[in-house]
Amino acid sequence: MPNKYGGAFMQCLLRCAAGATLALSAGCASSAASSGAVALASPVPAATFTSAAPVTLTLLAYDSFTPSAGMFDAFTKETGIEVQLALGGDAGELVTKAALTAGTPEGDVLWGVDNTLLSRALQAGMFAPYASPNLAHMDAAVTALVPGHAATPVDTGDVCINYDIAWFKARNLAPPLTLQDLASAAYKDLLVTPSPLTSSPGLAFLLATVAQFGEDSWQAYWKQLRGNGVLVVDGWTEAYYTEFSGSSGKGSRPLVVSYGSSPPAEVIYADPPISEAPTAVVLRTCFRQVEFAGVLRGTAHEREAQLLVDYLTSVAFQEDLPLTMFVYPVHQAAALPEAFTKYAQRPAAPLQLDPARIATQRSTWLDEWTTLVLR
Amino acid sequence: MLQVRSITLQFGARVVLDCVSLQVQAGEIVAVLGESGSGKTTLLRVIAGLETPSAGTVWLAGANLSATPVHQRSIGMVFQDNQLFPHLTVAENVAYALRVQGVAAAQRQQRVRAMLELVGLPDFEERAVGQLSGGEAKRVAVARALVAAPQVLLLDEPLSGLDSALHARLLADFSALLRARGTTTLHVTHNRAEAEAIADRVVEISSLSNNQP
Amino acid sequence: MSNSPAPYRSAVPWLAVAPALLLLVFFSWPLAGIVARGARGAAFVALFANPAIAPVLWFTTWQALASTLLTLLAALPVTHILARYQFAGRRVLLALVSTAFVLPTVVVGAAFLALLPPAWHRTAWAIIAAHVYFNCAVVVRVVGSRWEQLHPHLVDAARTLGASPLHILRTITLPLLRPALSAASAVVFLFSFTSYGVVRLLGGPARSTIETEIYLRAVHLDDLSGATALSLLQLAVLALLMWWWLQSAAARHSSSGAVFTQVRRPRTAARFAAVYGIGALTAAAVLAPLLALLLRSLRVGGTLSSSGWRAVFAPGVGSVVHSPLAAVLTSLQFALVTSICATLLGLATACAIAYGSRRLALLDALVMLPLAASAVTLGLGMLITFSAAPLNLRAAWIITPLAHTLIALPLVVRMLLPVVRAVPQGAREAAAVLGAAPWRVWLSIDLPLVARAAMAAAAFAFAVSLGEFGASSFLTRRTTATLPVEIARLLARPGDLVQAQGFVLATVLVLFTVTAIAAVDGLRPERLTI
Repeated sequence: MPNKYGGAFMQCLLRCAAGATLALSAGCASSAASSGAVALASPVPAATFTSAAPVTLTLLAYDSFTPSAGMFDAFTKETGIEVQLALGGDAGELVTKAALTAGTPEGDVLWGVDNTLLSRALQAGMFAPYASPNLAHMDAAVTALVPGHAATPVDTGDVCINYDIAWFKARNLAPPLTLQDLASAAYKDLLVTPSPLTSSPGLAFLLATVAQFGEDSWQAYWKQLRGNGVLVVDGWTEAYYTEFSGSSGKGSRPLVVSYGSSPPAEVIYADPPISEAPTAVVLRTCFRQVEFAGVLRGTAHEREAQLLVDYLTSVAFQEDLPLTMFVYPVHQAAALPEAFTKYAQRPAAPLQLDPARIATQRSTWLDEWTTLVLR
Repeated sequence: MLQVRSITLQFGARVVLDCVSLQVQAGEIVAVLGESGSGKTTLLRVIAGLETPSAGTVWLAGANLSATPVHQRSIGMVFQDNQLFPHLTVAENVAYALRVQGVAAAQRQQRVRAMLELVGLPDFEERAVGQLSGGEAKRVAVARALVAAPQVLLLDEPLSGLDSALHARLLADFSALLRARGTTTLHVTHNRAEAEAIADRVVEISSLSNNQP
Repeated sequence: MSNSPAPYRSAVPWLAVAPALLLLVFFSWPLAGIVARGARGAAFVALFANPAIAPVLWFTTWQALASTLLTLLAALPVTHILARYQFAGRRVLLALVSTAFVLPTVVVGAAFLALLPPAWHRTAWAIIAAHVYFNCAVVVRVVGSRWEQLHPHLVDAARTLGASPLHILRTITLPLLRPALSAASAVVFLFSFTSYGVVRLLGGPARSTIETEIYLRAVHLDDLSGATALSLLQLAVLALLMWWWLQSAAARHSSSGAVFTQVRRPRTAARFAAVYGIGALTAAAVLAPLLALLLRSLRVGGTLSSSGWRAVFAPGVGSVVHSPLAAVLTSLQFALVTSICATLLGLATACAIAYGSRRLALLDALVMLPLAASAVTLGLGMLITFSAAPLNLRAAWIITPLAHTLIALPLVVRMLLPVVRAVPQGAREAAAVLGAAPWRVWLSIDLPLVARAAMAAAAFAFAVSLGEFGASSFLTRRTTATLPVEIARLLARPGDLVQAQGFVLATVLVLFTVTAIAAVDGLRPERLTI
């Protein structure tokens, strides 16, 4: 800037700074008043872990992270640490942002990396390794997925083909039993799947086909699926709530890619109440998803963050998961609610792929899939 | 030839024209005198078809114009502020009506040139409208209206706001032009001297109202 | 016209500083940051070698062109009646049309999906229809304000010369409106070209524009280089386009001097029918998707039910919206800040461009750039730039309104520039010879003439901020989310009752927006902008 305008420039800056300060203080006041149910002004009791000043941790998660109200009160009571939720889009956006800010993170703990995104997270080095004591209570197969303990498993789920029981019964048609069945003429124009490019269950379904048919033959399978009239939509909500016939949208397609926990969800949310699940799962099409959380590298409160990770993997928090997020807890001592034991089916041997393999091949597979199915 | 029969026009509660009647013979130049606000511009607009009267009719050559839209009436008008089209040159402005009538380009050019000479603006074809002086713009406006050879020409205070030398000159020029072409003309003004100089017959607008006490 | 020096020229550098600073700090710097992080020479080569990219470029271009053309066609009738006539319900119609522009894409997308028959889902025409829906307001405002300035007697003169109404439209009206038409077209084209939410929601996975491709690559395919390459390409193409357009428009800018018009009631039966017919048709077209929203908010479990509304306003079991009023308040707060910043900066920019030398036309193009840049790249750029020293704004809530200001600023400038230019120099000169110093001349002559347009621009900026979703969705939400973000969150979640609550919030947003716009417009009910 030329010097003769220095005066005006400085004046402007000063005014802007004053304005920003006013705005900031207003913003802080409003945020204290309006933050959601998770951050409460409870008195700080004598805690087993003492901190010099009250610490507030920021837990980054995706938009659909919905634990029960007040879930973090117990944690605050026990440790004196407040937890503030910061929701940042879907899982992909969350990981992208965290990867870009690795080392100077936006929060302290991140919840929501799944096994398809794990490689990106690890490559970006966004986590600080931490071996939680709760790891001992988890299935060894699950903990083995992250050997360096950069991230901690927090829940598992299955992505499976769901079908509308009533629809098939009315037409006297047996529902499909395997992935290969989906490509047969009997099930023409009946399947809807979200796109693997933008949807996590969609990607899980694609990976299931890769696991089932092998890296060289899944392409032929998808060609068959395309010829068989598979409908690809943008997101899972559209697939399940608009196109699927077995849900409230009363769509036209009785086969949908969804979660293993969708049938119990149908029962739990049913109004008026029902006693039998209207949908069921095709067990041999299921792909195992594991979700992780971790301490973000570069956080100012590493020890506190580790405590939070411990809490997220504790029985108390884990038992809340099935009915709020429709996933299975990883803590083996966590009890499942009745609706889950009654209506949910879990495959004994779901389809799985090595996360490292997913890491290297994912872009290639997605490009191939796009050419095969969308163009 | 032009008959205005008991035209009444009300804007809301305000009566602008109260049962006004007027007759203009073919080839006659009639001046209508009135103060500002007396409704003389409105009278012209009603005749041209730009305003619909509350009551009364306008007849031209024995035909009732009530159902005839403006662009089919063959009644030309020179507006008080000229209303030259700013995006067209002088020649294009003058040629406008000829284009509408579908006259061929060569003939158009010829007639435009002739008309511009007639109003005293030779070689003004390519000028931009925004660069004209007051007098020049007025001449172009008259040329534009005349070249279409309308059956009746309406002039709305054409010489107001001009300096006295220009006023006198244009008065003489227009007077000669209109007589030479024999155009039926209705000239509206507040200037009695001007009215008497240009017109065959001068009437006061207040005297045209049938409902005079 | 005249050779006298431009007024206030000495003030121009001071005026240009603030907008230039905003652009530099909140646009160029984040953009440079993300490019530095992502751009690799190899990526550019790979991009052009990729056969999937050419169809994307083609689709983006033709759908933007089609959207622009159809928007102009659809908007001109209603622009005409709004600019020229006074009729019952005029204010409501104007507010409705403006509301359509302001609604977040997630809301309109959901409404269109609810309204359109399944055969129309996932088609290019659904996208184009949504673009037309959104962008009519741009044409109405930009072209309408110019149309208001056309002296109605020009049309009368043409009629006395024998021209039919259609001929007049073709030879008089449209040519005189051309600067405004090209200004509006440029903005509509930009919006349609860089549109993201509409394409994703209504186009389905098979339809991809540059913007969705950028998002896909950056967020889901972990291909930041490809995404950066694409956004640089988009920016370059659009910047060139805008530069060319501004060059050709600059020569034609009209300083018409007298700015006035009178709107009149339609007096003939035919006109009456036409005005009310067009008005009713337009209102119905705008309302239909909004009514669909209302219906969806009342539909829980396949039947009509008010449980969604009860869940939002009388929270109980099943309520997921903890404090709807908080979201409304946040949105309002941001909108107020945005509107003030955008209007002040926009006024300064418009004045700088109008009073400055021809070189200041560059500022005009620069101000438009945020519209041309990809919201994704900008959002990510802001993320990495403002996450650390020297300017760590991450915790500051001001960053969201600033992002909104960047987006509202070009629109404000487009609306104010013709008005600033149209202030008659003669009036300024008259004031000066009466003894007024330049600042006084500005305050007593320019400001009053510009104030009404500035109010209208402020209302527009306010509304833009209310509905903004794209860029700000990348700024992590620590405090309560704004309404559009909250709505998007709810609509993406499973559960009928949850979805219904999302639609309830969407309806609330619509009602609120219509009222706000109608209220501000109501300050000057006879005029569109001036």
